[in-house]
Amino acid sequence: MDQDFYIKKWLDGTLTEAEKKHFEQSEDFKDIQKLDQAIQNFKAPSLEKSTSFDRLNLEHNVAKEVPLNWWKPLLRVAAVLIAGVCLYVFWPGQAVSFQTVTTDVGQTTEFTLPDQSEVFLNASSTISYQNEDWTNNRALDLNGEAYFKVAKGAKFTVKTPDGVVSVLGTEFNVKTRGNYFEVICYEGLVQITAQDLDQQLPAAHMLRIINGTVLKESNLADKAPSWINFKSSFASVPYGEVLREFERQYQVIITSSDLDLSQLFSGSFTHKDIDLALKSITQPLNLGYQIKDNQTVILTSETN
Amino acid sequence: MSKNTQNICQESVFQKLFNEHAKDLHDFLYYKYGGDNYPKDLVQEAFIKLWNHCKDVPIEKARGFLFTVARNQMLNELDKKKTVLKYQKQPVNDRTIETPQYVLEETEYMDRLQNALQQLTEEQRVTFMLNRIEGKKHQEIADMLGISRKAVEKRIYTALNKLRVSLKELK
Repeated sequence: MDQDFYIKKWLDGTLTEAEKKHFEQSEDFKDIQKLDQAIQNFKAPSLEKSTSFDRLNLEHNVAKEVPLNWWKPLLRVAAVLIAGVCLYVFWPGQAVSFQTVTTDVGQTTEFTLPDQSEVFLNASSTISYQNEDWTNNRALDLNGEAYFKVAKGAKFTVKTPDGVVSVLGTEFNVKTRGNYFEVICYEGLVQITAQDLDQQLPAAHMLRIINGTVLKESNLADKAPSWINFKSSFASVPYGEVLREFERQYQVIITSSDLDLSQLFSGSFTHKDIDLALKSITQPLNLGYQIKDNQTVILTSETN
Repeated sequence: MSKNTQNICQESVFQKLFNEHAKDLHDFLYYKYGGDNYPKDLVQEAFIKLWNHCKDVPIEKARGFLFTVARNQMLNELDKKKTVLKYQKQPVNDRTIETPQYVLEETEYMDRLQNALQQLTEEQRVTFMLNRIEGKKHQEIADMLGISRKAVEKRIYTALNKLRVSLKELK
């Protein structure tokens, strides 16, 4: 009971000096002190009085003061006018702000469009699109090669110099390199419009146009383009295109004077080891290679 | 006559009221209902109501008006979930070297305290927190809640005992 009396008085902060001293000796006090210190961590967050007050935004001014400065209302008018002019001048510039993603030689990148569609961009490629109003107008310009995983939604269009590919929601790869145009559909259905061709491409199908010649293939086994895993694969692709792809993945120039670049090549090379990669693309054709100054590769016919 | 000189409808008078009472009102709502129920917004709403009724409320009744409004508004909106007060993480002390054992015990203590606070009744918690953290005197709290000083004393004392018991029990 005695102790209760002390605790109660301590709680109200009304202990006399002598009582306080006595109380602080006790075992209870140690306990309570620790509790008291710990409880401070539960303090309410501070209230920013000035900002809170401003936020009140008191509307009805009972005793409305007559504005003393006649020019203050004029300032408001001026501000509105200036804002209007600025909007007028700068609006078109804002509306056509393009987002551009570019990759260098031997570099790939991966990014997400505003609607969560995924884009993987292969080496030496460029994509540009409009950020504003993306969900209603899903269209982008591609130069190079990219793999798309399109989120469901409005029509999704990829414009390239060689043709237009559009879909509703699917996974597909588009490669547009000069006269070489290739679309592989991995999931869903894509619509291709190129030159005088207008057709649909279902999953596991490939369409390739080289110098105006159309080639179609079906029953592809791959679930995604191999370059995503740092490997370029080819199926019956002219050797010249293989070499150009090689130049895009490694910072080199390939000279091949007396070779037939139109012969078809099937195979793949890695993006990670230039020696291994060169072997992969030369040995099947019985070629030899030489690397000069780390930037030029000379291909020669092997004399057996 | 005196009513006219100190009218709440005057913005300067109103601002003074805000500065005097906003923090107490906010703390009260926070300890009562926790941080998840937007105590700051409720403070705003209470003051807006006071402003709209500035002609009807005499200045000496303003504080009581604010607390009553806030309490009523909260009752309207509150879904009766358990109030959980959160403790701030202690800043990392880089001066003293703390053994893992010590750190563990401290965290455990805080967690137990948090639990124990939840076990208190709402009335006990509010009075206790206002007293221990905000340093309010018993009489001040009594005025805030509109109860007697004796009742405040009893609540705080019960709360302290309950906390001590639940902290010991779990050891």
